[in-house]
Amino acid sequence: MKPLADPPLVDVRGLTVRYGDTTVLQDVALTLHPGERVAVVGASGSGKTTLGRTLLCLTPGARVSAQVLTVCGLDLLRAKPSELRSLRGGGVGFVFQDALATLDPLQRIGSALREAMAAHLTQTRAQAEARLLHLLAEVELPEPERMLAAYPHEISGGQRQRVGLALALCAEPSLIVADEPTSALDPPLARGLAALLRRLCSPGPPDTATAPPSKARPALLLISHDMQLVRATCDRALVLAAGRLVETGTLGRLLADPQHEVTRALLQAAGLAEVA
Amino acid sequence: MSLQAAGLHLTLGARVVLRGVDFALAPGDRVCLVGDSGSGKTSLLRCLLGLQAADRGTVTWQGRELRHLDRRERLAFRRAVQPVFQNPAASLPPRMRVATALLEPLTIHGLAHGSEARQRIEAALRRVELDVSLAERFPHQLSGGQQQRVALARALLLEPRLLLADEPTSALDPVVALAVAGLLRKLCEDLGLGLLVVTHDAALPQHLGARVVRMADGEVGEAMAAAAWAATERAAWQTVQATAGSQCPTSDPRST
Repeated sequence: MKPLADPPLVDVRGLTVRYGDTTVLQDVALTLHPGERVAVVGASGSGKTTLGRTLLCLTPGARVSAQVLTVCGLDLLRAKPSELRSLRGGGVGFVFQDALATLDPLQRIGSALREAMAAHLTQTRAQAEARLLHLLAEVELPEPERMLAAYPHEISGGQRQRVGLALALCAEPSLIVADEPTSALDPPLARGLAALLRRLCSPGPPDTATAPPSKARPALLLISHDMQLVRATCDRALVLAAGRLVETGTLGRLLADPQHEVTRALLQAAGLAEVA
Repeated sequence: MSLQAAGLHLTLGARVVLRGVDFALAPGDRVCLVGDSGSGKTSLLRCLLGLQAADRGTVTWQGRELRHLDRRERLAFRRAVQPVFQNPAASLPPRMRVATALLEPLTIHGLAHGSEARQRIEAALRRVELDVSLAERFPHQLSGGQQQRVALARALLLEPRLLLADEPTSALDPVVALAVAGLLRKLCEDLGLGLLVVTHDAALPQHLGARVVRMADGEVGEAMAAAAWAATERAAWQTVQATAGSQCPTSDPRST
């Protein structure tokens, strides 16, 4: 299999997003192929969250224009609402910053996962239950019975974020978009989640030990300002500043030779570069 | 002029959060308290501020136990030992203009009024590198970094000896956090303040030029140099990379 022959999962060229008179993104390009783990980094207000949301058309009130805006083969500029619904949570799984705000407080974890699967997959009840246990094992959550019966407030923050990841993985997506998934966690928990993201989104076929699905593992788009997390999880990064793409490259290159001041500042803040 | 904790024990509900903690901070010291969530960092900070009474053990300021301070001494303690909180938006009164919020501590402590107060407030704003015109704004009209600088100005107006801060930069964007950390360091150096910062940030101790004290399970461990702590955390993050999944080809020409 030649990776170069794969069509890109995300193909964005000349993307501009405006809210009223404010230009949030200007002329941004992003290409992401299957098997890639890519980060979008930048300071607050740089437009990185908007970029992630634009890939799912989750930008109500925004004026979006682009030369190309294709995700999982779907042209977002012309997509029908039904196509967008199947893309959201189907082709693309989204992991949000705050799992407590994402999960319905009155819905048990098991019910939330079953609902997400039913929205996207056609499977028998037995298949669904088997997949449920498989998902919990994938995200390394112990005691599946207790977990499925629990309400969101009854489990820890780290566990909730793993449930969020399981929800994103429900429908065997081709791409996971994770927006600051560890910012509510302390460093050891953040590292645990980073290792999990990296493993679940590693290139190549799924682990034979745990995986019934025949699909390849999803690619990863990580949105973060934490360069420690980005370095541990991704292979390549795009740097945004004030809505524009200012630098892009492999993590190795960005760490060794950052060109833009924002890249340098983010590395300094994470203790990965000396403060002048 | 030092703040000392000796043999602090604290139980909250069923959880033992402090197990015989000894700690001291004097003007000129800079210390970062690190450790996992639940290790007791914030509880120790609250005890040192006199916001939480310990079950056993003592907190003393200038040799006097906090719980035995009379009203006048307590006011002096509250002036000399200033807290800085994590969320600056929540620590500034939302319906007070910055100037009013900064005037309040001066009035309470009877330090200045009228044009004298006005001058001190402007000096404090300049010291935290803010434009004095921001004094007329409300907190919600400021950025997070500006709000945290106002919170610092408010603390500095009382000419404290010690600043005790719980995650003072964690609500800020990393680039802004770096600038606030630089300012905090400069203020402590210029004014000879003692600084205690509770943090999860591996790089912050280096930016503050502070030594690191690690807490675990309600106990205080050995002090270590900031660089050593940063290296420990970096190594822990590198383990993630090494253990979880293979590296993608890095010389990929497809990169946009």
